[in-house]
Amino acid sequence: MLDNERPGGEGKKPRILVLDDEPIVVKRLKPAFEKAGYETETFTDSASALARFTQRPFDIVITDLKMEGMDGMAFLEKVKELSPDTGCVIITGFATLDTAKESFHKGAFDFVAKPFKLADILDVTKRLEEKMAGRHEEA
Amino acid sequence: MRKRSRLPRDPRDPRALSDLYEKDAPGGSNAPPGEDKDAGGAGKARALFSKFRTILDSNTAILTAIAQMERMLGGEYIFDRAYLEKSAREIADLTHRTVYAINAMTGDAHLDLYDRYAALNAEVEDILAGRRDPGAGIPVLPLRDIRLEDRVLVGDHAAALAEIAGRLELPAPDGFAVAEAGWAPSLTSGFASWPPRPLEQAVSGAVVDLYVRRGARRVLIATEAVTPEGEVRRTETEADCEAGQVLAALRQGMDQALAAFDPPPGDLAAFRGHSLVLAAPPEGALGQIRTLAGPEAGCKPLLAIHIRLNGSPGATDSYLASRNHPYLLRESRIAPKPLNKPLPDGRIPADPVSRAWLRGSAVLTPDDCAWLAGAAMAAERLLGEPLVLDFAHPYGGKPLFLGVRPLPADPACPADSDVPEAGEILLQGGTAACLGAASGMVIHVRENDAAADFPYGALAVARSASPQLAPILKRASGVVTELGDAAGHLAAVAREYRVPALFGARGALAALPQGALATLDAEARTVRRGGIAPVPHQGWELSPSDPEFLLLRRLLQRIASLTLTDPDAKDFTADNCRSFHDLIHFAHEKAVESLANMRRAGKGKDGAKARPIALPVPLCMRLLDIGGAAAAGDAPARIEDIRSRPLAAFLAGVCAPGMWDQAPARFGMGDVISAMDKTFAALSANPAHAGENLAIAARSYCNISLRLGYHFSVVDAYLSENSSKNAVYFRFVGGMAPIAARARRAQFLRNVLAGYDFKVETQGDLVVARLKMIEPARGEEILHILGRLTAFTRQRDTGLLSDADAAALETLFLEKSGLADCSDAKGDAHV
Repeated sequence: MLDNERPGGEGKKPRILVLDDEPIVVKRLKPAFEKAGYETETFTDSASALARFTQRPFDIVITDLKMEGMDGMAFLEKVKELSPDTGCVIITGFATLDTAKESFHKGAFDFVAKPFKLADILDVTKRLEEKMAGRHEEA
Repeated sequence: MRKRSRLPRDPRDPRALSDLYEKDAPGGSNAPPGEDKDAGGAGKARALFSKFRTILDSNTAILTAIAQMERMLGGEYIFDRAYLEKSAREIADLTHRTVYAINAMTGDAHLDLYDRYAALNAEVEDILAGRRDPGAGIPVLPLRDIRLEDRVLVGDHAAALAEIAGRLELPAPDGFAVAEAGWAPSLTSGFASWPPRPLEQAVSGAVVDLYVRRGARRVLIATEAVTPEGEVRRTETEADCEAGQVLAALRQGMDQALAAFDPPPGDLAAFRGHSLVLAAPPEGALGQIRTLAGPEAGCKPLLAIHIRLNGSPGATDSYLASRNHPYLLRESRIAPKPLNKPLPDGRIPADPVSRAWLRGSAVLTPDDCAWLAGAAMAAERLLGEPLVLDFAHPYGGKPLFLGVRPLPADPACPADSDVPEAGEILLQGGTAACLGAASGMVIHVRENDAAADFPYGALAVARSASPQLAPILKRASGVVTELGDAAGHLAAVAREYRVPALFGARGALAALPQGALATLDAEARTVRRGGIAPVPHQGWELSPSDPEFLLLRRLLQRIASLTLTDPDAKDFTADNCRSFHDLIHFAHEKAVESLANMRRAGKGKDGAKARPIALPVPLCMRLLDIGGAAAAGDAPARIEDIRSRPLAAFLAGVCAPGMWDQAPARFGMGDVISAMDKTFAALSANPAHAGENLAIAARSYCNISLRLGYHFSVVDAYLSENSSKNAVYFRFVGGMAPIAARARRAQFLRNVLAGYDFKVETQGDLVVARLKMIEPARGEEILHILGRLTAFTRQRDTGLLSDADAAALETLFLEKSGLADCSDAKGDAHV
């Protein structure tokens, strides 16, 4: 990844991948993130999302947890294997303390229970972006 | 027990749940309801109280879940289908608990509730499973009974027209839809016989209704055929309002629509069909509005109106207007017309309108254009996308909308997805109750302002988010208030009409002066100077075209709607419960009644001892403590012994100085005559029940039934530290005076209660008021006022000889309550 493509690098916004098997979620999140200046790609199945991520990693991944096929936790693991610097946020309608702990253990930045306010997910993403920018500055 | 045994033994089976509840009940047993082993003692009372608490807890949890579901309509939250499924099933489970508990309390006196629960739950499960609506088998539906969520049954056009006519009350002709179920037998059988008997009967009934009740002589018929891929062909025709002719026209219309696809014989079963039959409007002009004019306006965001007189196809007038209030005309092209031909307003072009001017040949006046534009923009807000609306303008009559459909995007004019640029920030802050952007002229409104006087598309600005403002939201493009939040009733109404709303924005009245053009952006929580109306687009907002939006609406219909409001009405029965909300309301009323009756009948022998409350006013009241309502003791409870938070607040109001007027009431002969039937009824009633005042209370709950003279009132309140669970319900009815005086008393109560943001319904002398999700301190203040009102209004109806008396009474109440200087806080402030 080039410096000027990194979060905070010459003002370029991070690229975001959104994965949720419910079309209404990705349909609403994509224009919201794009309006906030992020380049956003959305997927409703984890296999396609993983194929795209393998082809070109994203700075930020926002993924649902409970999905057909590869679930969000497995997707999170794959993402971290492929790109440890990628920031991950879990969104789920089935939030439990155990799943929250597990996702943090596997490297998730935050864990957001559905339904959530649009402003909240944008806030989480902004915090993640700031953290990633700080990390790059330190490096 | 027969009815209950029909239910399947699943996790929601009452027989499975009964074990759980019996074990849960303190002092209870595993014996069947009504067969408590400890029937003679305090154990029975404790078991009953436990069941009652189950009902209270379930009700509170259900109302909280319903409120959260309703907030999803506001666009603020990202939710999914899984959330809707989870919420609906949780509410269903809690409702079932309530049904079980009321039967356990009453010795299975309400077994028919299980049947209603099972039927409603099946409907909810059908909706979640994507199965057809319960109305799917009905061949014909009156337009007035259709809403947007019925589009799957009747097609998009009928559903959209019914939605703007029903929800916004935009004028449209009466009519009916031939639903998919009406066409299905004919399409499936390849029109083996026409008309099928059920359709013939339904159409005949609907046509007779249009002819006899609505005076229709001709009807407009639109029929559409839909391919399995969703492609639509539509035909339009007219017929006499006679069943045979309408059926023939329906068949002909469908044949023509199908012919466009030229389907092979035998393939018709895969097609769907819908028709819309409307009473034809009287002679006049026909027009069309496009809420986004497109290339005609050089892609500027303007609205286009075209109209021509019947029989003059070439003579079309065209107008371009702005898309925000006051909808100024930017351009008009008027076709020449004969000087002596009448126009819709009844005049001819050569009529003089002033010393120097003639009427002219424009079909529409600027006021007509502004009204049409405002109504069309209200429809666009509701349906969430640019629209084409067909309308008729009869001679001497008002415009009628005949059809509404989405405006196809014009590739020549790309959509602008941003909120339009506006000037400096005039106001910032508050809570968004419904997201979206709106632009219009600021109009300050008060609770009692007539909605009909509010111009379509203006920006309403008010002191308080009072439920009384709900009718204005059918016309406003946006609403801003200084007080209120996203949990109140007006917020729910804003979401229902999809009106951007910002509540709790301090200083709004001063910052947004009357007549200023301003733009509200609820998401950014700002109001800016100037601006133009934004164009709806497919963005992150929740759109009425999203399946999840319609799913949520359909679920809320079965879950949240409340149709049973008056427990004394004849239709207050289990069979008439139309939603889970009705079921829990019914069960709660019966539970209170059951506890009150137990105390009256048992006189304490079953342990349900009701302790007198010693009050410094001449009011006899007893307390049935179901847990933590008062300090322990057998002596009469003093006010300072009361631990129930809502009851203590109410009693403090009852005993407030100046409220308990002990002067004899003013009685006239009319009062005595009107009370004679009640006097007889009172005399014939069980003497043990006369003058019965009972408070059933716990630490955070109270239900107070008061019978003061001929007045009967109920206060039901839950008040805890958790605002989302708090609710107050107030009912007042009766009196000795003639109905007109009692109605004035109802109006007085309505005015006072509305000032405290209650949602108030009145019918004759009955007043029902509700308020939910309030801060605990505010809840105490409100219960204090209810106590004052209860004391103050005793026998006051007999003095209400005129409306002026009612106004004077309100002033007197406010003065005696020390609130006269606070009228500003009740929404009277204007800048």
